[in-house]
Amino acid sequence: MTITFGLLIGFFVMVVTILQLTKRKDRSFTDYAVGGRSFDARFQAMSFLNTWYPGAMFTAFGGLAAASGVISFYVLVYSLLTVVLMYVMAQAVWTWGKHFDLKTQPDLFALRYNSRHIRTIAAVIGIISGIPWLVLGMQALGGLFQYMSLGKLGFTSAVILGVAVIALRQVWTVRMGMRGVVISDMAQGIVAYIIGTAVLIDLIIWLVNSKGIQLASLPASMFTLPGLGSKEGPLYVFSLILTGTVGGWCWPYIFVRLFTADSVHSLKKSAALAMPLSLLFGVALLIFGMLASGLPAVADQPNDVWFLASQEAGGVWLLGIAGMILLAASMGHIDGNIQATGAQIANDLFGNYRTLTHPQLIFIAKFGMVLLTALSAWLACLTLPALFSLAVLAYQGIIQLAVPQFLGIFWKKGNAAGAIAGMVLGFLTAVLLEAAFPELLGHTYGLSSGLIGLAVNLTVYVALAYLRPNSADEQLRIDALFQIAKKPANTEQRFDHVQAS
Amino acid sequence: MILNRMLLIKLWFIADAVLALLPPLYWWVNGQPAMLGLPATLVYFLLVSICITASVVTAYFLDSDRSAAR
Repeated sequence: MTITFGLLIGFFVMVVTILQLTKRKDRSFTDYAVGGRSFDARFQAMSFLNTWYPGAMFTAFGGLAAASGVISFYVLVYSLLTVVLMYVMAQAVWTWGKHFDLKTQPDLFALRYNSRHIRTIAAVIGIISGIPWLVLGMQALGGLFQYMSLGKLGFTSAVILGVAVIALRQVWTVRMGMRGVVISDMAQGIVAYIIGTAVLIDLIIWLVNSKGIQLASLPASMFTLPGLGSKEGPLYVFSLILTGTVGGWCWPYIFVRLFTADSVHSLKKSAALAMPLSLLFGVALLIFGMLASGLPAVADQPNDVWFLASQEAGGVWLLGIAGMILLAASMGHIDGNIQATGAQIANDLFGNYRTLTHPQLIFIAKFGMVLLTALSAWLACLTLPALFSLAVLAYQGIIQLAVPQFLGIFWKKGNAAGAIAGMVLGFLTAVLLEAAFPELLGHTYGLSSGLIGLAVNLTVYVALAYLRPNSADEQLRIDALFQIAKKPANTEQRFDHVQAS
Repeated sequence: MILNRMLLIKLWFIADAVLALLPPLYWWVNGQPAMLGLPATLVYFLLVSICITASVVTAYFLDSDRSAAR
């Protein structure tokens, strides 16, 4: 226990020391919310990975690979495909962000659709959808601390300890805002995904050489995908990958990464740096999970595969390192979520209908982050049987931002009425379908409620774009926005009038 | 020439989406015998993942070339 907790404490102290050494006073809310748009490709790449892959990758997705086999690869495919989306929208989003000082995802919605109200709606959907995942992330640390105590802590005590540690960590997130998040993501990311991948490869070698487990020795059912005639439905894999791909950039804490880079070039370079690392990490994790399913202990507790295999292979030292890796991944995800939500509370809720000074915005963001941390920590200590269902529902809801977001970036015809009506109707469709038909998948060939909502959303958005076209002035404003995205350097003077109200 | 390369990247990105999302493709892979000594479904996911990664890395290098050429 001294070894495992010693490694965790050592890592925690290292991250906090790095944050203390790099602390500097924020000159503006832009500094606090998007780190002054100052990060190069290396920081961007690691920050994306550390926010994208939560600690649950090692437990939930490692467990999925151990329990269900090759279908778990859907997480890797959508994690890579979503970066293609980032690559395609980087030019427009970063340029608009720089030109109009955008700080949050709803800021972009307000600019594109020239509407204050859409900023509030997008922020509310983003904040509400993020809370169940934040609570789940904190609860997952309970499992970590239980294993690190070598079974001496009960689950409730372990959850309380986990929540206390991650709440303490938020002191630096609140104090330093986005700069702290991105800088700590670099340290946490190196541990989680570089050292993590090395440990995974070592474990694969151990499973093959010492345990004699090979892919060929696993049951054939591990390599079967739901197809025609399956109970999940033939479109199940399609639904999983599409939902993950378009949904990824709908999360406010992921989207804001597009505003923290120092240039479009850095954003694109970060994609080129992050993808090979993501590929290696994902393949290693999922192959490890599948091979580890051959261990007798893992068959009973697949979600604990990361801890069980580490302890069996390398005793308490490797168990401690495994815990450190999972803590690093969890901290990155939780910090990013809390920071982005705090910025949204200040910028998109309080700051939307009244003019606030930069110090006021920073104060409200910090206060919001403290409240959110306290609320999530409290919820994480409760027994909430519907929490996982709420988290799944949240994903079906958040992807409704995809239609106004992506079409808004790439299509000039969309308008505020279509964006708002589409989002609201899509969200309601997803919620009602989930509530009324819990066994929906079997009746929709595997399509999720979120994708059906997305189809409604898209239909409404496109229909209103043609039925209620933009006024001539508004269309000119939108045309000018798209011009700015193409030629950022020469247009400062010509297009100042396109700033949204 | 550079324009043609960028068109190639656009087509590659579209191919990424098709390979990753087209249901008949993974229905077909499901019934195939092992390839290269590995289960066909695993080979499918590995190839799709490598293809997507390669497309973005290549796109970045071509973009950098284009920027340098300006």
